[in-house]
Amino acid sequence: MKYAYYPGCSADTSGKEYDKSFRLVAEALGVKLVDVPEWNCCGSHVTYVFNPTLAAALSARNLGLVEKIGEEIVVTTCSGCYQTLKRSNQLLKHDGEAQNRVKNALEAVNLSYSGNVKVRHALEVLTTDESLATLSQKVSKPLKGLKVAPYYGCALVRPKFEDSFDDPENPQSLDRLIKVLGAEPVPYSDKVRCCGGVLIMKREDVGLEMIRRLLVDAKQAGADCIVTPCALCHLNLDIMQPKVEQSFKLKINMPIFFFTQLIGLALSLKPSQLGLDNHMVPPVTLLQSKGILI
Amino acid sequence: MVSSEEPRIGVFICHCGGNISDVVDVEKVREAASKMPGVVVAETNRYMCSKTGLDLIKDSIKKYGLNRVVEASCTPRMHLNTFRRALVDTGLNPYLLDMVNIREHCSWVHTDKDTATEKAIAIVRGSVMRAHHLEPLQPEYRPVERSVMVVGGGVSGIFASLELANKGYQVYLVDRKPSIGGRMMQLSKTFPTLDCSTCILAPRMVEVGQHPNVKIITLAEPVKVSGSPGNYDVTLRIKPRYVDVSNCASCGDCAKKCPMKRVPNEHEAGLAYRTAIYLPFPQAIPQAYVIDPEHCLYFQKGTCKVCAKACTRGAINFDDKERLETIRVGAIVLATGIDVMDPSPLKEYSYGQHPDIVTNLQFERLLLQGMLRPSDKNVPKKVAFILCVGSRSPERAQAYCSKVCCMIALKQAFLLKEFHAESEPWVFYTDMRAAGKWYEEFYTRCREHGVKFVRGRVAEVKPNGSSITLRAEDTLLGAQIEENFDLVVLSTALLPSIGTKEVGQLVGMDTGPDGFLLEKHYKLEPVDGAWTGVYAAGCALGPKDVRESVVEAMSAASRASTFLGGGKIEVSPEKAFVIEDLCDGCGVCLQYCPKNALSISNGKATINPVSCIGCGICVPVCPKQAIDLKHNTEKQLLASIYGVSQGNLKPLIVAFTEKVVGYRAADMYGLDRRKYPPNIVIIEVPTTRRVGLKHVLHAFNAGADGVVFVEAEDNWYGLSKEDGLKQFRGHVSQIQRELRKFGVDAARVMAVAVTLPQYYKLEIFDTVVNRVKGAKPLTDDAKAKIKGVLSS
Amino acid sequence: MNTWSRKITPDMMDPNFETTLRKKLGEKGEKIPLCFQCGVCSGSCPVAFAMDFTPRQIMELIKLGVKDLVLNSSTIWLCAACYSCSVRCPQGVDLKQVMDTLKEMALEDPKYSVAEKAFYEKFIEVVRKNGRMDEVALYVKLMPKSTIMRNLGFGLKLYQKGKIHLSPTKSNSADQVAKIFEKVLAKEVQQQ
Repeated sequence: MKYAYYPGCSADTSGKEYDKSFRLVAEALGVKLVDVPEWNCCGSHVTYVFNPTLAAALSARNLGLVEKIGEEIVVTTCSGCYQTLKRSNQLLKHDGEAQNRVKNALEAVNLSYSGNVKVRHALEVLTTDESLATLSQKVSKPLKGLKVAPYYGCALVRPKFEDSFDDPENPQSLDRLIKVLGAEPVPYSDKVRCCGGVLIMKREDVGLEMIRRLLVDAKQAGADCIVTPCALCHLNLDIMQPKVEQSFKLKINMPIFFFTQLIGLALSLKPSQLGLDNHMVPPVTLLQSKGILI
Repeated sequence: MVSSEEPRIGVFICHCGGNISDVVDVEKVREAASKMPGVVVAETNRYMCSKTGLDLIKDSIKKYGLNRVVEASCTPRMHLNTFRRALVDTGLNPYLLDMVNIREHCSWVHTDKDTATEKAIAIVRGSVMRAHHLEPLQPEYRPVERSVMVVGGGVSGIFASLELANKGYQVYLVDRKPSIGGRMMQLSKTFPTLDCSTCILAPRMVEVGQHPNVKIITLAEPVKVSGSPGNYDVTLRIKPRYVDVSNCASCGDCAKKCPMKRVPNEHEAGLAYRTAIYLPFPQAIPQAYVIDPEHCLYFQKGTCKVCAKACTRGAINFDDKERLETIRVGAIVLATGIDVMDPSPLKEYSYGQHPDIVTNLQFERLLLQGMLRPSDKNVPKKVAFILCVGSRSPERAQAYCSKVCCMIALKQAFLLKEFHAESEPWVFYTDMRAAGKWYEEFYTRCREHGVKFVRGRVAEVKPNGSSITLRAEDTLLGAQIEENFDLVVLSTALLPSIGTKEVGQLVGMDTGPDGFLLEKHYKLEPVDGAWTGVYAAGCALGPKDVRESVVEAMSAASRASTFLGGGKIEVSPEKAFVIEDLCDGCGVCLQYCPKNALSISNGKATINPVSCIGCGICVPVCPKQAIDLKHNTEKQLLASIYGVSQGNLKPLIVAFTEKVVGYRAADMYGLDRRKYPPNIVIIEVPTTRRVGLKHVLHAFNAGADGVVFVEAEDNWYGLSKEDGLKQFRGHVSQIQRELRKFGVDAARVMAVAVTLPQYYKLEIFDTVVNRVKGAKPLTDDAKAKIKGVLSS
Repeated sequence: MNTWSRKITPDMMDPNFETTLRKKLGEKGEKIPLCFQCGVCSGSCPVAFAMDFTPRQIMELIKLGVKDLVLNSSTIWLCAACYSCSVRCPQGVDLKQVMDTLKEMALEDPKYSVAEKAFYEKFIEVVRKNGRMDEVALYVKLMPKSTIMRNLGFGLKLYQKGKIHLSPTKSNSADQVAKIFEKVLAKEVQQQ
């Protein structure tokens, strides 16, 4: 399989290891990625509030670039970008006026966009029946004994688009993936409950409480770690975890993985290749205790 | 003979208390009518249907020697018989009345007073002109079959059957399940009196089972209905039971030996198992075992038959076959009941993900099984009852309120508390609907008994280890509430039972947008079907409780016996007839009759009056114009066309509207107070194919600017829906093609097919008017051509 | 945040508020009057615990036309846009979209939300300038110096983990993005 790849802004900062590990496991699984050249911010939910047409225009530039390099499907690791790009496709399809204005804006930078690029999430392309079958054959180091709470977040599964790949209330793709990797999915009632997203920047007190809840619930459900397909969720759950522990006087110590890192581990890739040392909550001790790392 | 007399017409215009006169200037209409040809007197009254109004008509008939009456008021579907009786009372033939619908088709659909009045005058003129040609007709009578088929053996079906059987009718009580009893037999106790459901229904089941006038046919469903009111032939598909009912002693030896012991038990709502040969439940009627071939080892794998060996009476017959049986009955009662919605598609409730998340029907069985949690058989302490799961959710599941869930939840919470005094029932509700005799009092009792109530629809239910977490807003506080429960009961929406639509279609009963059967009139004919002799009762018409189901069952029985009691049925005299002098026996008409009522004898076409249904399709196809239709004769139809087409409404569009569905759809459009331009004038016709090219040409000749055909999507004259629509469209496009030869733009002729639930499709009338306005002009040349053809 | 006396008086009602909101929402606005206050939205909301009005109460305030209470509420800014309410609403109200539109209305009117405006404006500014988002750049723009100083240690740790850069990430197409901004926003002005 071959896809255009749109990493999204977080790939350079908080989601660096996500980008890194995705490229590696994609290659290992025979998924070819072609980078969208000179991509820009998708617009994000924030621009949508400010000005939907502007947001759609920002998305459309990226999607136009995908067409320009001759691809029909773009895959992204960022759940926020995934939602925004899909939303823009929808807006351009249904709102004639926005469509016109976006068209004019793109013309100013010598680009065009037909509206037909399909937006897929990295989790989606790596958990198709076919991908999981390939993966199950390639797993060389099953993650035996690792109890993983699958945390999907919100932007990946909501709103429901016509071509959404998982259920907004009870998604299963991560659960299936965890099983294929030899680990054990922990039933987790908060798996689609929002982590607060950018609220952490605007209202830290509220953001921390939302993160606390997710971490504590996963812990109570018996999870050793949490896996997520979203860079923003990871930022909140991992980077902010020490702050949560500090503010609420708790000891949580819950490693947070990108799902691509778990795949990498099961494929025997090195922790440093997967960027595991970039995490605020170091996962090495846990992985050693389960015999996954020596 | 009245028809030979000079017409003396009285026109009676109704205010309808303002329903008409608020929009239509009734006095102006009266004045205009009084000047129309043949009109001797024109009167208005506040309510023509009142005694004063009717007396005015009767007195006028006598005083002025009237021999025709035109009544301008509401739809004839409402008061045709009322006004016909006024004629009969004064010795006039009832067919000498013509009604003009100036309410549903005028004052309720238009807002501009001047144009509405103009239109009212036009349609009154159409009626007056038609009245000139009305002829007295005599209805015919046919005997009826004194028997009734009741479809569905739940509480409604049982009570309808008993009521009819006790009145002396032969009843066939049909159920597709192996036993009668229905949903009510699955319930624990019934609110608000808390009688044991089985204890009150089982004796009636025995009674109906032993009644000499009742024949119970189980495992059976109707697949075809033909015939006519009073003489319906119902074909049943009867599935094999594989057990001879008369021989089975229901000893249970067979089931003991059956190796298939893990079949989900339907009666226990899946909360227990049964064998492949089984008794549906202890009180089953007929009291006999049945083999479920889908789970029987013999039917699945070809060997076993252990039950046959165990049966000492030889009651088991593996060679039993499915069969069809046709039964003639006078009337049919549908009591097909409800199903419970599967809540699993609403994933936020996590149904199926935890054994202690159950539906309210399953909770009924838990109450009867000893009130323990399914997962660990412990006593549940905290139990949540969640209302509106799938009900009142137009965007997620069902739009309607399932009506009984509030009371069911109250009852269940109450019974739980009685069972386990230490338990803690919580009821999460959207709006507490306890409207009914002694219902509010029961709600009070529940509060007294310590049932907790939270006003808020539950947002999510999540398994949480052995317990279940529930999140909601307590909307009275404006605060989120999060609680763990031992057992969660989902009050799921009630759906029409599977196949309701199909069985309804067999007997001409539509289903509404909610999927339940549509009664003939929501308020005044609440258990009648569209066809005479077809009735419905109970949950087939909508969710309801036992008491209400019984009331409807008895109503339906009463309606059926009223219909059959006279022993005969009046048959409309509105049938086609051959004008022998003109007929040359060419036989073209034979190909078109949907009922094969036409044949050729002695070189002339003849019509069998019993088979003819008066659709009028044969009339315009006769090349010799040798067929005509009583009460919708060529003269009458043309008079209507010329009558309505005069006047100042421009453009004027004649809507030839099929009488059964199309006309009623237009009525419903008015009932809903939707609007369309007054340029549309409706002429009722038996079917749109009664109207041929000739009539359309006459319409243009008379001054009309356009024509629209309104036909039923499901025709009443016996063609399949597809064929009916195909022929309808073919008919209209043929007319459009012919019109082009005269230089008339095809845009001036349009077609629309409607159903009753989709009456709003008539909003196309706006488009029709716009298209006619935008059509190429009707040139003088075209008009002259038309005139030329018509006069030759 | 709202401080109010739990009493709604005629002077608080803006009869045009609901209509304006509905118009802005287009087709989705038609669902607003269908709200029957069941509370599924608030029960689903992960941020409701911190709001001065629950999402359901915002719907009620909209229907009453109490504009100031709505546009001054913490609710609209705390909404994390997770769509939990929208996917579950039995009446099909897209409450997340309603919240977005309320934010838009509050941003347009200088009377409301001074603090919040900064976040949206700075976010857009960063994207306009760099073509991409950069958390550090946004953080520095948003936070008062004292907060930044207090979190310096944390920042350093993030830097060590490779989670942040000191110089903002810039798309090599930043000028093109700036052009798109110019073009879209210029049209906006013209239309007004």
